[in-house]
Amino acid sequence: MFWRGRGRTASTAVVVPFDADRHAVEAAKKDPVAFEQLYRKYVAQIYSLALYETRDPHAAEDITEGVFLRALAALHRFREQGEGDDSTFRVWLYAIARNVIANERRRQQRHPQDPLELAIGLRSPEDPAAAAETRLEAERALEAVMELPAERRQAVILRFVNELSAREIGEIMGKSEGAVRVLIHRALVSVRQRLAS
Amino acid sequence: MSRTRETAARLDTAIDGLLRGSTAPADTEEGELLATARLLRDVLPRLHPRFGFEEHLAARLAAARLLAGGPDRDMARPGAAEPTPLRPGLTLPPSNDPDVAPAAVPGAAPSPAEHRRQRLVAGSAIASGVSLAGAAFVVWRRNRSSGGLF
Repeated sequence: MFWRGRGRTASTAVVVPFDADRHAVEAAKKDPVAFEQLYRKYVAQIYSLALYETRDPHAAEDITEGVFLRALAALHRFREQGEGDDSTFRVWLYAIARNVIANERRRQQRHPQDPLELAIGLRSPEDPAAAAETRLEAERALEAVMELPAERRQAVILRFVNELSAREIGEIMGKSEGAVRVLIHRALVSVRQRLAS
Repeated sequence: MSRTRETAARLDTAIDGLLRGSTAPADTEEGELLATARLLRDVLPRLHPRFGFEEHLAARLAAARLLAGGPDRDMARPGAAEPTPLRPGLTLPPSNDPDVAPAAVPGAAPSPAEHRRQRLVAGSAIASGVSLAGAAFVVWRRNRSSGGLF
């Protein structure tokens, strides 16, 4: 006897809103060569996040490489599922990056490096903040950010460096939008206090 | 909503404006924090990888794509993409990589790889059935014709 689905809940519509990367992602699923467009768009963003998090250019390159290779290998499994006009491919990519960075940070804890000097040394020469007085302020602010607890620091970097919304950051970090806003608020209070001291 | 959450929400709206380049009001309750946010926006630039690295990784991805297959090959097939690693220990990860965690939308259509697998199984079953039927027919014909002779 065949069971005819009695007791099943009514099927619910899956809302799939617009993803800014939808066309590029669909193209890359059909033809992996098209993945390069996504790579070029996001390589600096992922590298930046990795560099701020690890403060080691070599580790950041390894992480960037790992993130894009993983994304390429798993792209066929990616399903758009975000809301609003956020780019859900972007959120997916950052979620991969966060996992890869977490693994790298665990490895770094076993092999600690000299973080602060490296972090300050990251600044590119053409950076306007490189002028003497501004540079001192920049270094102090950077130091204050680097000393934040991990979640606050990551939220700040995703918000100010990568310019993600609180909702996107929430999706990446597994938190509510409100919780991310509070994280950033507390991070700014800490940085302000640190700079004032 | 708690007072902290309200303040954080207002601050977040102001940061949105700041990141879009609009002039944020300085005399708000969050004015000082917004000044700190402005400082962070200025001192936390987006950092670009070395040109050599970016191009090297682009080439590496291109090689991985070639090895992974053209437009219609199954990238999920184990061992389908094993390019020469850029650094020791770095190869194209398996498609069930634990670092790639997001769940698929429930009820979503199966992936092309799953489709191909299902079609392959169905094709094999049909081919086996046809072979068995053919063999049975040949045996039946032989028995029948030998019965007629004797």
